[in-house]
Amino acid sequence: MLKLLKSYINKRLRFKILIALILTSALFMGVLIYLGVNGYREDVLNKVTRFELELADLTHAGIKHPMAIGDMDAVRQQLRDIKTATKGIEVYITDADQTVFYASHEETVGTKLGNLLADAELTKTLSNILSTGADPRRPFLQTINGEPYNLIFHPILNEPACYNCHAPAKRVLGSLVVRQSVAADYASIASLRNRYIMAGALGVISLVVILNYLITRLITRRVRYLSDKVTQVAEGDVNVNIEVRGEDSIERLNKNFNIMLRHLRDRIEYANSLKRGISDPFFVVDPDLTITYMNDAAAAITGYQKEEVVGKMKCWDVFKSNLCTDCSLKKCMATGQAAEAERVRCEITNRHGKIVPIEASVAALKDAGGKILGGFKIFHDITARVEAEKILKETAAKEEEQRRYLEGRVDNLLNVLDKAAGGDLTARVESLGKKDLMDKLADKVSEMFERIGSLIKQTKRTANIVAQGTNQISAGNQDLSQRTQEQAATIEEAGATLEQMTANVSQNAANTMKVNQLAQESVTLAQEGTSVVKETVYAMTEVWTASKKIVEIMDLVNEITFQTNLLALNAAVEAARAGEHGRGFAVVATEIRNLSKRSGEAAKDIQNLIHDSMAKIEESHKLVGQTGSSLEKITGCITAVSEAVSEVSAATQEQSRSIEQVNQAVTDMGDVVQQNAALVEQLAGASQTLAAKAALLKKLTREFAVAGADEDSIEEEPLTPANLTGREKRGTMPPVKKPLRQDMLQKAVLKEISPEEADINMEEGFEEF
Amino acid sequence: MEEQYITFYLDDEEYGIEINKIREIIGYRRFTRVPGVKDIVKGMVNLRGVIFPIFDLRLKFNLPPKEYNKFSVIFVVEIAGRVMGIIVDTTSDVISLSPEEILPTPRLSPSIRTEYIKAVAQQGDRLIILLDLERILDEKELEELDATA
Repeated sequence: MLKLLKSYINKRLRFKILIALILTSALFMGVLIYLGVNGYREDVLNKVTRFELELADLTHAGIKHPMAIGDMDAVRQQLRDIKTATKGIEVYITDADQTVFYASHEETVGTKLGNLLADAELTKTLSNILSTGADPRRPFLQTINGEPYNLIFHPILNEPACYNCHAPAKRVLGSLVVRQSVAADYASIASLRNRYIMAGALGVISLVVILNYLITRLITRRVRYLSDKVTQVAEGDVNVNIEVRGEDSIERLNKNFNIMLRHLRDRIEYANSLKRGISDPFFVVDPDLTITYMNDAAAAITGYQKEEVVGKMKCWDVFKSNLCTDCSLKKCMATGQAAEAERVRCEITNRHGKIVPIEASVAALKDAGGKILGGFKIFHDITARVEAEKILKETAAKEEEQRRYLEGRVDNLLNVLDKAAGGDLTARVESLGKKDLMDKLADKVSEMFERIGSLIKQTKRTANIVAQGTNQISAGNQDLSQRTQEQAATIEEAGATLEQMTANVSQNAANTMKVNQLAQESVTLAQEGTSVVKETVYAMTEVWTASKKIVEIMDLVNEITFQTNLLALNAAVEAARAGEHGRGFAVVATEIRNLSKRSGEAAKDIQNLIHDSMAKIEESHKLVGQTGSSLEKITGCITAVSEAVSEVSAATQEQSRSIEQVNQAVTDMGDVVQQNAALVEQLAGASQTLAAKAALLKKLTREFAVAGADEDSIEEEPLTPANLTGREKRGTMPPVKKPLRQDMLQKAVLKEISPEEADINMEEGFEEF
Repeated sequence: MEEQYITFYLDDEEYGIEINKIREIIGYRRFTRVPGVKDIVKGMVNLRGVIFPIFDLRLKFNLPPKEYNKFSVIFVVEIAGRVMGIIVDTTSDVISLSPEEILPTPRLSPSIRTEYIKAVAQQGDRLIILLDLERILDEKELEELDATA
């Protein structure tokens, strides 16, 4: 029963507060009552005591005189009066032996007061007082028949007035005892106490009632409201809203509780967003591995509907993974390493029996206390990746095979090339007939070796031929020398014909001389250079170039001849205009025309001869050039073969050398141009000479206008007969010993012509007409 | 009475002009082309201050044009009181022809109109076509030349 009450109270906050309040106020009231009653009691008892003491003193003072004079009756009367005047007060006067002499109640006179008192303690106190004479001045309590009495002991001391009857030696004559009942006083005290208690109890009860009402209204109801809401929340309903009506601490609590709830909702929404936001297949299980959540992606992979799985099926039934016996999720939950996610790769079998490879991460879910609430698993379909890895592996294997194959082929090739580097060209790279690049390479290498081999063979053969040829050349050089002599002769012929020209154009003679010298030099060169074929080629090129130059000179000569002819024609025109007076001049003009005509014919002869010579030179040049070039080719070939391994670099060097040769040839050509320049200068000399002749003609004409023609002046520079052949002249010419170039460059023909002669030109000649 | 002719060549044919008609013979030189005139007039030449037009006899004779070279010759002549130049392939000679060497005008190919061919001369095995300069250009051509000058 008490327990039940206790538990009931324990459940009610209001009762607890009330009980505490009651206890506190009762204690407070008790103390108040106690203090009030006690004070009152002391006050009453003090009053009684003071009254009794006064009574004792008064009584003592009243009886002192009658007793001194021995008037016993007066004493007795006084005591009787006391008895009547007061109520409940007894006064006893004893002698030193405690025997009552006088008493307000006369029946007690003569008795021992000790007996009357019937209290050992009090008797002893009285004996003390009687023996010592000390006045205690305080009341003594005695209870008789349940009624309280106050006792006052007052000693009666011996005084001089008393010496009539009593010996002065006696110090204490007796005692005066007052006894009074204090039951009434005690009763009033008790009634006061009872009133106090009643009032206190009433106050406490009304306090409790008021407080109960206030607590219920201000606290309990609101706390219960909050408590109900909290209970709702605790049961999982977080969509609770608590009304806030004021600003006291409970309302603040409500407000904060609302805020807390909002945070809670935010947290839950955050977690849900996270859960929903995971696009990879994802599911959550409770500790028994029953699926509590599964997203669409996971459902799609497994082939189940979410509704038939969530809360109903175990995860192994849904996924049927090959790792279900060693479930990572279970392990994770067992170890409780919630934060540690591990990636596992496995295969699952879905509802339709399809095996899907996945990669999964698992983690345990814990509450704040570390208790495992379940676990979750995120996984994704790695079919494509697995496929890709498979393909990658296959490709790698294939590549490895290909690489090994290629290495083998290249090793083969290297062996053959090594042999080739050592000079053995018989080795061949075997073709596997695969028609791939390596086969092509092998074929090409074989072909290259074939070619190099045949080149070497050919070179060997050619070398033999060259050896023979060299002999032949040394023999043939004799022939060549002869032929060169013939060439020289031809050139000499040209030279001779040029001599003829010199008769008309004196500078031409010098050129012809030089041509002759050149020819002889060529002969000498040819004789000297039986072993130096290149020099011969060079010399012949020189001869050929010189011949070409002569052709060019002949062009100029032709032009000059033409100009001379023009002059002559103009002279004829002028002579015709002069009529009879111009007849002589016409003859001169005719002569000049004849001269120029003959010059022209001679030039044509020379040109023909030179062309003939050049044709021959070209033929010889070709022969010698072929020999030279074949020799160079052979040298080139041998060089190329000797550097068979680095064929390309050798070829490049060859090329650069060839380019250098071409450069050299270009330089040579430049030199030749210089020679041309020299020749042109010579020709300029020649033309100036011709101009001088024109001037002479002019002079003659002028003379003629005054004094008539002087035909002899034409003979001033006799012409070399044009019919004199080069062959006839050749014998007189010394053989050419030096290359033409230096010879020509050293000569500056122009400087030999006097400035006077140089000033004359054709145009000025015409102005005279 | 012998007459003197200057001969020249157009291709292989030799032509002759009376020496008296010729003022001067000059070598080919650069001349100034005049835009917008007939082909026959090649351009203008300034010879020592005298400016005159030149024309190509080949074009006149409807012969294929030939590139001028250093042997081309310009005859400076006076035709109908005008100085002008005639370009020919090349000059050759001064010849004296006796009257018996000059033959009457033969019939020639229709490509050469005969009105400006005075005669044909024969000397040894040479055959020379003698030209009448006065007739070489017709009225229209003369007008054009005047316009050019």
